[in-house]
Amino acid sequence: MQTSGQGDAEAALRDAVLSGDQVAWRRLYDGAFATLWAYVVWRCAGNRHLAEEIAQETWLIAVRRMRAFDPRRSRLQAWLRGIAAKVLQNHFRSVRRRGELARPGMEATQASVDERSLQTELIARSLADIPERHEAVLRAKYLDLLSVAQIAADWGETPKSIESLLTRARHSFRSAYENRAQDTLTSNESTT
Amino acid sequence: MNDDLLPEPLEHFLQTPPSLPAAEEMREAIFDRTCRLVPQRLWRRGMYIVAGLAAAVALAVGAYVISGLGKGESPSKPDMVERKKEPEEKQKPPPLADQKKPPAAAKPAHPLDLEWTAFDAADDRQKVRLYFQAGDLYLDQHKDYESAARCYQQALHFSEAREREIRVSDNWLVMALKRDYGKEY
Repeated sequence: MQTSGQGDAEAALRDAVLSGDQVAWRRLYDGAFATLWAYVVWRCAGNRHLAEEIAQETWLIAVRRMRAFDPRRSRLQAWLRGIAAKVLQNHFRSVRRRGELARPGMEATQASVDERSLQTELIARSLADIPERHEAVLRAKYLDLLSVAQIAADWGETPKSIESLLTRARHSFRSAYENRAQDTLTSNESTT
Repeated sequence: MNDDLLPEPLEHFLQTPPSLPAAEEMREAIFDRTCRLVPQRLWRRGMYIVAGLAAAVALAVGAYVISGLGKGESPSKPDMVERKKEPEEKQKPPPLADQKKPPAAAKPAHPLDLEWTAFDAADDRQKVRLYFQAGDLYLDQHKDYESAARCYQQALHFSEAREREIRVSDNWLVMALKRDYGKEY
């Protein structure tokens, strides 16, 4: 949960950055980098190359868009995660468009040679496909390792509703994964 | 939560989240790139403030001189008032008249606003329109070539093949980026 002390500190850093204070930017960057990096790596299912690309783009957008960050509304980490999720979503959309136009099925054919990279890509894309709230509860439970009771307390909900949300999130993750796997299979078949 | 196990790769992913140490060079490289954008904004804002102050001082001095001259001669205040309105009128013309305008919705005035609206847009068609428009504004009004190129490249990423063909109506930067895009993809 957001405490007023954290919010005030982030507000002060934000204002300093907006006035051109590079030391403040260094503090903000160093303070948030590791957590954001862990999140991006998780969202990219461990694909380092993709994670580095997404992390860089996220930070570039964050510094350009710093004026839009409102510490009264969200914590810095949540704001950065929102940008990273959007960057990743846009990345997959533009790659799909370019891939389809360049050579249909090429991505899938290459990936089928390397089963592990195919799985990584399928998982990352499936995470991008599920609703934001489902992704958030999976992250809280499995990446941040919070208990159901902690998530419920943080989100101001009951443990039972979080249990139910987790079940739905796992289902939608599975559906997204199976749909993606099916698409890949179809794409592979159409190229052979 | 074990009543409904997921396929093995998903269960493995959830139970054993991937963890990679961040390369120090990458971390510092990103910091350097972002850090350069911090003073740039301040410098630009400072330039705008200085330019605005200079214009205000020039107007005030001009008005004072003209009113001083006017007192010694025949009264010509109506002319003076009319002339002061000219700079304001010059700022009024709409940014660009081409086919890349967004739908009737209210237009943000600054290319940065347009760029973020494009970034958040769920519809690819809208993304393309807004990125092109933001690029035009960066290029024509702010002479910010780097930002213009960034927006145009995003527009090309989300556009269809026919939109990536070079047209006579394209500006020099769009032409160059389209040519490079064709080589790269």
